[in-house]
Amino acid sequence: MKFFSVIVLVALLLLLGTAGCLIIPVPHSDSGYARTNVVAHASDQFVPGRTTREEVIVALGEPDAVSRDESQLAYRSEKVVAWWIIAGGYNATGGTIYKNHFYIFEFDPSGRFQTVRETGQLGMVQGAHEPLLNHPAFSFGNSKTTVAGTTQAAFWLRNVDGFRSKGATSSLGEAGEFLLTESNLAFTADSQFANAAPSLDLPLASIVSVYVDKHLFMRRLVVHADTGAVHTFQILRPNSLGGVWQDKSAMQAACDFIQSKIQPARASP
Amino acid sequence: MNSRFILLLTVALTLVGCATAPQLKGSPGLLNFLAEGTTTRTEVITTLGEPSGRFESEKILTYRLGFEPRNSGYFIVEREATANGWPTWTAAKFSLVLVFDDHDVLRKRSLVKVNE
Repeated sequence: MKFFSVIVLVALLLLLGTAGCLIIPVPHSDSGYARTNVVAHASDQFVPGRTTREEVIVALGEPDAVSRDESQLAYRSEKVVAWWIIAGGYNATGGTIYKNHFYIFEFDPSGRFQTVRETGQLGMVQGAHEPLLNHPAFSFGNSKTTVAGTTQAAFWLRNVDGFRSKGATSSLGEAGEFLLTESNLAFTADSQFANAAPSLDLPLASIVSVYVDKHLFMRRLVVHADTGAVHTFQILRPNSLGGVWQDKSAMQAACDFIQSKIQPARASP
Repeated sequence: MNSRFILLLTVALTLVGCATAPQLKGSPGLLNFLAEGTTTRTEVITTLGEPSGRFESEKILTYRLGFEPRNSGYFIVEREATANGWPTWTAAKFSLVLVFDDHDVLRKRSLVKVNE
């Protein structure tokens, strides 16, 4: 009995002593979410100045991202490199630590391969993002004289009137980037390639009314076009917990900006 | 004994009647129509739908393909992205790359295994 008590005491001491965060490195393996056909030295088969962009795509397949001018193609692989465990008392939680490898193939204006950049990034979120290439919305904005504002996290609800349409409160919409220029409102979906046109490119001159709709503590930006189409946007910002939350001030600022660009009489209160 | 056998047989036949063959997604002949020097861009888009990627002024079209091992068939997979915007290659295992000439006729094709 005395021996059993000692064992229990030692176990308790070990438990208390190990409370905290534990990271367990594991042999690197593919996460299963990203491509596996582009690895280190993948570029060895290509000759700088000679290999064409076409030959790279034919060899490696569709890239994971592309710059608007196609001078950069990005390929991403993702490895599981460790597990993390946080334990305290009787509670414990854990997850996976991923490492992203990005291979950025760069081409000259004639489409000839120049070089490849390799970068890595650790993260606890599968598919963690690294801003490597210009997003289409920014490139699109650069083509205008003035970029009034951009936001990288937004949702677009096509043909939804704020919270007023049927089922609108439960609709999330399409994720992407929202962009306002001096002349246009654009939205580029996350699922798009950067060399594609934005999903929505709405001249501000075609907007007949704009307002911020409210439902409980939620806000949405709503624009009505002269064609009768209605578009709703929810703009988000990162929060302190690592997630995202609605950006009320950005939506109000966007509303005010659009109102200033359309005839005052046409702007909704 | 006989009645028990008949009962079992009836139950078995009933269950067989309920069973349905699993729906296989892939089509083994999906890509058979592709012929270099013959197939046009219009035929490709009519048959496979809108591509997931377009490059070099649409000279290069790419499609994401899933693979069904039970019938060795391919099926089209739409581009899917994580919350952070990066596409995943979970459903799609292959990338079909089609290169067209100046007359919109297929010049080169490549089926790349992207994810094991």
